[in-house]
Amino acid sequence: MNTELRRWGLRAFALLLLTMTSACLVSGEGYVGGVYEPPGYVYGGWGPGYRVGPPPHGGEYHPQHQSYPRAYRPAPESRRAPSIPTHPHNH
Amino acid sequence: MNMLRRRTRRFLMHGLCVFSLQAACVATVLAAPNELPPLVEPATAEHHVGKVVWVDLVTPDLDGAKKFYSGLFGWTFRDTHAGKRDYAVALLDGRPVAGLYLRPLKAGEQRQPAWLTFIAVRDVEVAKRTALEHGAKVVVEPRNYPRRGRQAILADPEGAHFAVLASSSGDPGDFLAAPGEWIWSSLIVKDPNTEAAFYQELFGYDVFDLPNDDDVDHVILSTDDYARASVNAFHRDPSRRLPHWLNFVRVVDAVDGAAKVVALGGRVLSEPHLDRHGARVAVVADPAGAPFGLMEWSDTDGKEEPK
Repeated sequence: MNTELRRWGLRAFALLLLTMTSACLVSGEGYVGGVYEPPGYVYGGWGPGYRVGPPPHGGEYHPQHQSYPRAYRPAPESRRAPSIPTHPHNH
Repeated sequence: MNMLRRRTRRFLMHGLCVFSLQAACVATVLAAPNELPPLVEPATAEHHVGKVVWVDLVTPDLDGAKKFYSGLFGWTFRDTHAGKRDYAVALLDGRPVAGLYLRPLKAGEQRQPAWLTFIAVRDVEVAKRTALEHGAKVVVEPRNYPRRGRQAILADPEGAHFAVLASSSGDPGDFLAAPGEWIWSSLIVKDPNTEAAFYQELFGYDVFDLPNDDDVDHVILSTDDYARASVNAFHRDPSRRLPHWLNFVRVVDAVDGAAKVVALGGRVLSEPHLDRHGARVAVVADPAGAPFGLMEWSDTDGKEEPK
């Protein structure tokens, strides 16, 4: 009787293990699964003179004199300032 | 005694069966197919590291958002699921332009919804490692999405959230955005100098610091000889602001666009005004409060041959 009980127990354990494994192997969760939370912006900071746009035509680029050392490597002066792509979609 | 054993065995077996059935149901729900669509259909071999290639809105009111953006930009929507979440792909003339996904608010919770900016990389693991080495944090670990690719969500050194995406179908080509499509992205931070350096390390940007006549830093991030985004400093009171990415949709007329936003239940956060490129921009929020920008762009600006 004990042997039979042990056998049933093993079967049940195997079934449970299989179920749990399949639950762990699911794909498709990530921030869409509810993990990602936007930080919650505070309105504002843009100001009335908030100006962000790209140069409209690209063109000459003269690195600005900064009163502080740059942390980044500025593009060389020989480069043209870039703009955004301007050719339309191919339909 | 035997009878007792038999009953105990039966009881145990029933319990195990019920438990297994429940566990299987949970697994099935969790395993709901993730239907995030590919970025590009049909797939291409184009890759544009550093380009903003996608945006997702995380909103507590999916139906309200669909109504608003449909009324404002003429977007249509294809409903799907992302895991167990409701997700809608926004389309303009059949082209996917954004994803909207529902994240209900709990009772009493006050959390401003937001657009999440996705920037193209070739290797998410390398991007994550580089970002961590330069002061970023991981918000959501890298993960595969069957048709989309691999992505992770990071917070830059000042805390602005953004996602990196290695698209398995290639990146969208470099075209001028049509009205109703995303045309520009701007990072607004406390220190554009160090933030530009961080993003340069991460995406290999060429960095152009452009003239500023208002003592506000204006830095352009560029790859493939195209301007990809700007980095700007907060205009005022940075201590109370969270650094963030802000994306702009191209509109024909920013004044009309802002009026439409209000008529559809949204708000104007920064009135339409002339920007550096000689046309107007405005910052607005949808009815749930997610901020985004409107930007005019003339078709005649900077005509050029495709690269």
